[in-house]
Amino acid sequence: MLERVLPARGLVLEIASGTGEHAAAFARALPELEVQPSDVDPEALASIEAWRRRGGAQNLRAPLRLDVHELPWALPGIAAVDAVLCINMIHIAPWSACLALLDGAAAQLAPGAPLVLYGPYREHGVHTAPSNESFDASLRERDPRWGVRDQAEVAAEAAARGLALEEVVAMPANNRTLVLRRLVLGADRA
Amino acid sequence: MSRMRADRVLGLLGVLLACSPGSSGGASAPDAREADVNRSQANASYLPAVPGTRWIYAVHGDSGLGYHHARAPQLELRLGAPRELEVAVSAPDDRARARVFPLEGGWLGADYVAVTPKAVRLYAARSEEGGPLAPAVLTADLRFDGASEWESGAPPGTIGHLRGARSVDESVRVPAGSYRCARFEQHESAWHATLWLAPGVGLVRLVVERRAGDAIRSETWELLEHVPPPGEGRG
Repeated sequence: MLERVLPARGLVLEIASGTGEHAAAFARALPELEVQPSDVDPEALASIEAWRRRGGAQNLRAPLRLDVHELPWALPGIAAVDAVLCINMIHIAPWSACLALLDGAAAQLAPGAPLVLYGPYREHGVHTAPSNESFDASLRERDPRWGVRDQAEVAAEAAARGLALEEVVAMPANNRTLVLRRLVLGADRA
Repeated sequence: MSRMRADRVLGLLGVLLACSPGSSGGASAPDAREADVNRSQANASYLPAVPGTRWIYAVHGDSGLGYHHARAPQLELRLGAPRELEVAVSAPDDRARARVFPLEGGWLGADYVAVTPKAVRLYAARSEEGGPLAPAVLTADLRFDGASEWESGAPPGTIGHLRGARSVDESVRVPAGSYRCARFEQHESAWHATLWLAPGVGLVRLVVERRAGDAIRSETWELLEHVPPPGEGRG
């Protein structure tokens, strides 16, 4: 599905790459794209680098330290970002991280370029599966600022930044992929 | 014949005279002086506010990196039935109600268009899924009131502040044909757009340059086909 929604060529910035396993897999599967992994956690950065060395994909860049809250994003050595990808981050972080992600992506993306979000979502305040509800409770127990986000709230905040929801794709284990695209006109932030 | 009916007939006549594909702004098109004289007149003919109208555009990106390949190379805008909407006259609190037409599709960043005697205004109000953004935010302000430059939208120095200008009318050749167009510029802090509108047709060409990180990316829309609703005739 990423092959369909991502550009044919260019640079994909992955936010909160975590272990780096996803980034390594994407780089292998999409050799025409350059994959730029990033994370704020030093342990994650070390893990990403280990996956990069192990996988050896030429199009997987060295990991970048990036805290989404630090706006505007500092992206040394990157002239332009053609897509932003974020997997399983916005529910395992404060709501402010989601808003900062949207701010940062809106400022980086060219007209028509995608922001791809993956994870569980509530739908108009309601969980889409009992397992997601349990997961949400466990997240909030670990940190009350965390939790499964509402799809419409995320989309509304994205829209206010000139990112329109194009597509919602149901994924395994009650997850969803949200594809948002940078609109042609409109301010970065409403 | 009612006034509205007469206006529509005159508008369609204008379409036939000025905007037939291939007219190239030549003998059958109004010359620049005539267009200038018409600047202060009602602009309804510049964007036919007829629900059901469709515009199909070819879209080109400039990056060469293929971001536009992830999206359809053709985009379609459709005009819906008019409705009343609360719009931001200036941010954040100056509001008004306006009669607007939904502008569907295209990823333009404009969900509604208002056509008044002196302006064509585009508003972002967001998708149903994303929830309404109220009041709708002005994203383009194209004026036909005789002014050559103006400011609108949010207060100066803030996000959403727009500087607009209308320059000399010019002929534009796109895949759908050649049209004599009014040319507008819109500047926002993050983007700059040039829009060409042809009488009886609407938006014929659009070039947008937008800041994307440290780069400036541009996108061009060119009219492939203007499809009036059944019974309205083609521009």
